[in-house]
Amino acid sequence: MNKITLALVFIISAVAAHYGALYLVPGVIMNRTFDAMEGRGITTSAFTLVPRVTPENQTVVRPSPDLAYSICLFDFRDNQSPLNIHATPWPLQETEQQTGRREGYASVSFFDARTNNFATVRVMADGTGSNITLMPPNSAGKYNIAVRKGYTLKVIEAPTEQGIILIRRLAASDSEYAKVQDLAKTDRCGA
Amino acid sequence: MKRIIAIISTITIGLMVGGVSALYMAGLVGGKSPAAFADVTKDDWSSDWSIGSKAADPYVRARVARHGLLALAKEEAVYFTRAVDSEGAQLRGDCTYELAGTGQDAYWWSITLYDGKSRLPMNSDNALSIDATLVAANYEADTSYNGNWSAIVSNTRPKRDKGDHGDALWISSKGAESFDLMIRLYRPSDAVLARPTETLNPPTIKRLSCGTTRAGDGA
Repeated sequence: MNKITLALVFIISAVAAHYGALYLVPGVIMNRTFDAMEGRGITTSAFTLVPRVTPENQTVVRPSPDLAYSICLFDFRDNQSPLNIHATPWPLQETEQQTGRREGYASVSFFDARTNNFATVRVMADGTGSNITLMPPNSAGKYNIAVRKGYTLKVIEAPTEQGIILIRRLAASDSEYAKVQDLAKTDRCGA
Repeated sequence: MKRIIAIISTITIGLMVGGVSALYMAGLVGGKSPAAFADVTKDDWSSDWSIGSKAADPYVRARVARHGLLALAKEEAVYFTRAVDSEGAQLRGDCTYELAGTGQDAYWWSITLYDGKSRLPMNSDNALSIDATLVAANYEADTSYNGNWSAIVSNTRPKRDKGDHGDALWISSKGAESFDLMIRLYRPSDAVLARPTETLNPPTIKRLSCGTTRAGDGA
């Protein structure tokens, strides 16, 4: 075996390991995140409002301390039923109503098993965007879903069978977070 | 036998070199900066427009998984990171900085400090970030307020003389040896997305002092 052959073996091995590692990393980190979230009591097919972010309780990198996060894990491996999601609208804040500022913020974002943010829906104070249906992969067109009066009901297809749904609401103070705690009780994430 | 050992050894070394180089280049080992893969830069604030999207290349995807998991795609939020002051020096927890800026062309914005491990620094100062809401409330009584604001980044709570806008806006760096600042722009305008280097007006970061005596600190 000559040196050229060994060099080729080395290059092929290194390139395969390089791109293999890069391919695997997002899925591995998402799997670890699923496990960590489940360890904190976050369940599949239900929203859990996580405590206000502090240095002591941060479990993901770079959390925003100004946002209240509600998390729902989805998993279509055993149950192919669509998920009906309701994110309770976050009313305009008092200061906003008085001054016309636009600081209020709420959204529902969807992440697949490889970290892609495959959809984000803006939830407006008037209820627009608060009702969403998440379909299993490759199921588009199988269901006929009505649009409820007064609300925009969006239908989204998941690219992977597992993933994370996240509601973000601006709650930069303890008092605003307390309001989110009340309001988040009516969030829904289920079949 | 020697031939087989040579091949196995070569493959093993190749796998190790390939694996470690991937983890290093993706910022998972070796302390590579979270902003190392930026494709948009303005005044040392860096971002990458492919974050959160399928357009992200394998390096960006791996870096985001490590340093910014669950980040939103740019249409909903953009994230800019800066780790150096106006003189190009690494931001340090034992220095005091003045952060100065104005409004942002977005629905809402915030600035948060993260330590070298992309974590909130371990302190109980309750001053992890500032945001558009806090800035507006701080300047609420100032009828001449034109959107310009300033804040202190330091490891002790600053005080200001009478005449200033209440308590100084403050981000605590206590517990962070070195750090970076991240500005989030939620629902950025179309102009920001289309022409970021022309339309962004990110805050300036001026180092005031380092060491035990700090400008802007209280007694």
